[in-house]
Amino acid sequence: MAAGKVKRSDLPRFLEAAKAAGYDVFAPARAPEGWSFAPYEGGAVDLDGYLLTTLSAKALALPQLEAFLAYDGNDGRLVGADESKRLVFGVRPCDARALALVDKVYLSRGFRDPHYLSRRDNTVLIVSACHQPAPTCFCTSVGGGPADAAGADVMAYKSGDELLLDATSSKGEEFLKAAKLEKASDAALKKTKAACAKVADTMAPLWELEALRPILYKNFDAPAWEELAARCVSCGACTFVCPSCHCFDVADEGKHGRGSRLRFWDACTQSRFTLHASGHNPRARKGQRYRQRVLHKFYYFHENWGENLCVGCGRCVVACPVNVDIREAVTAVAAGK
Amino acid sequence: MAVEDEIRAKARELLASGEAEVVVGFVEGTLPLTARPALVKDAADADRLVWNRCCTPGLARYVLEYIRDRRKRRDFDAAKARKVAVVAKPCDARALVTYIQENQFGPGDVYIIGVNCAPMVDRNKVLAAVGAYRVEGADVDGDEVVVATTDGGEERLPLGDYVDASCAACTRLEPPLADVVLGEKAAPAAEDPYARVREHEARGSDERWAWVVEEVGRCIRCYACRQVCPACYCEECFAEQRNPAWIGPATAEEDLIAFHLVRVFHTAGRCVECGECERACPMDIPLRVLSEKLVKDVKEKFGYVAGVNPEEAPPLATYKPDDSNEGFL
Repeated sequence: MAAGKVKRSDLPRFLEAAKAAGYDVFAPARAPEGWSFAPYEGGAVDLDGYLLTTLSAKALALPQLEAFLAYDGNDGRLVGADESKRLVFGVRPCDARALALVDKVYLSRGFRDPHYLSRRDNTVLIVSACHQPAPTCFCTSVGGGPADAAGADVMAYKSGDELLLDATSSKGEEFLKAAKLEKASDAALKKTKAACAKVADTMAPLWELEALRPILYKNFDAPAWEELAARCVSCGACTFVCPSCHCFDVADEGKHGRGSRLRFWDACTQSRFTLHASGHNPRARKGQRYRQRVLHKFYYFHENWGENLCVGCGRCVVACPVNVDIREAVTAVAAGK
Repeated sequence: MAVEDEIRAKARELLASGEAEVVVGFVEGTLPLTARPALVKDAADADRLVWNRCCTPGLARYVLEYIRDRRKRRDFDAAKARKVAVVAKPCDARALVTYIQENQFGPGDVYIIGVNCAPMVDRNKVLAAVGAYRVEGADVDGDEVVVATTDGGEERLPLGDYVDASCAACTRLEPPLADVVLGEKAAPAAEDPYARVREHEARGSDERWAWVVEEVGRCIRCYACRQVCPACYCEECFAEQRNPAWIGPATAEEDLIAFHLVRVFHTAGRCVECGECERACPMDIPLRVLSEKLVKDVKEKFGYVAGVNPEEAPPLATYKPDDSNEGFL
């Protein structure tokens, strides 16, 4: 299908039309912490002002906290999945790629998490290609890129005063068809894609990804893990801002015979993550925990699913209160330090 | 000699002589305007240490953690243990004083390389002003922050406008306890340290509650505030105890509010006003409004300032007949 286009000044109208068509629309908005995906309330979307939201788009598929079972006395019930239709506009390619990776865990090999599935199935992701990387971006080092369409339903490219919208999934195609947009010219699309490719050229890969993987694992006992993690404060900031960290904990919360079973994000960097009931902790040291986080991204996930888990958004680099930098860690361990 | 050189020389001397087994200090970070904590154990590495206007992270907790960890080692011999040296800003030194007061270790366990403080730069303010994606590198040159931009240009910003909020309000620019003090004394800030607290106090109770719900409601419970707080060193935090479960485990609004309010109350009379909680928060929650309120109350009602005198008993560890009873029901 040919790509459509929207005048940037008409973007509010485009989003309002999606709302009228029954979508809950989310778009990047200024927030106290920087930027967030907020319910769209009308008005211009500042596509030039924002690079990345502080928290990723992950929460829209995998909320930080959700109940999946509720009980009152002897009456228990499964909490139904959220079936609201959503349009998320302006997601960055790294975030969309992360969701495609998390899909593997929650939606494959005979297992489909009903809550996650419903949110993913009912969400249209319009991914905003990057025409300007942040200094902490390193997507090109982990297999992504400024115009990477993995996980996207529609790719949006800036082209002068227009946005070109190119469907990259059947869901996206359906959405664009219903939106009845003016057609974008192939030449314009080619040009803006070329501009994104140029952006990618400015982001030289930090390492040779395929060669890196076995080296990292081989250097499982490298001193650099402990050395680099010595400054780690064992909080969960890196994992919670990460678009692809997807571990959760489960707890029953209730009193007076009423309550619910909750699922909520967990963080392998926190010391209690692997704490056993016996008191033993197989990852008692910070270096062990940090190694787990990095190797899960760069080795274990690939062993299980054939792809890297880190998408190179750089959020963990920015969020860390003591400047633990995953780019540095991977480089150091790969160098045998 | 520049302070940085003095720190390196002192660290080298302490490690080479064996007086200290480790020096906790700052090394260059990977991002512009960042210095970060490091544990230096080899005298040859002393030259990695830096001292500049970006040395914001607190170091006292690394000292405590180091001492705690080594005590747990099977081969630990207290008689043979050497000192843990630390480059200490005044707020770091105040935190070390509270550790001594709270019997976490003795003054002889540490060697405090105190540094008279110059206010630190708020890198986020600089990034916001210049545009994060335009910053190639940045440095402090005298009274200016010099930013090299990605287009090869340079922007010079007046340092005074980009000082960390907590430093801008700091009135304690000398370390209260130190084995050696480096650097020149600076003039204390003219800013009212409690400006935001006064603003908060002036709100009505409904408004204050709405403020808490709005600001704290943003929390993602990553515990960055707690993990960097020098006063939050409990081996098991109430927030994670499951039996009894004082609060729920996740991000329900009531749990977030309970976590932050109880955490901040636990720092009453112990908070050394380093501002690390607020700096560490990825969600930019103005946590110091809560902690500074308690600092102010403790000062006004008990005449006590935390981390100033290791001989002094903290207000929550003592009783005087004329203590303020305000708030008792």
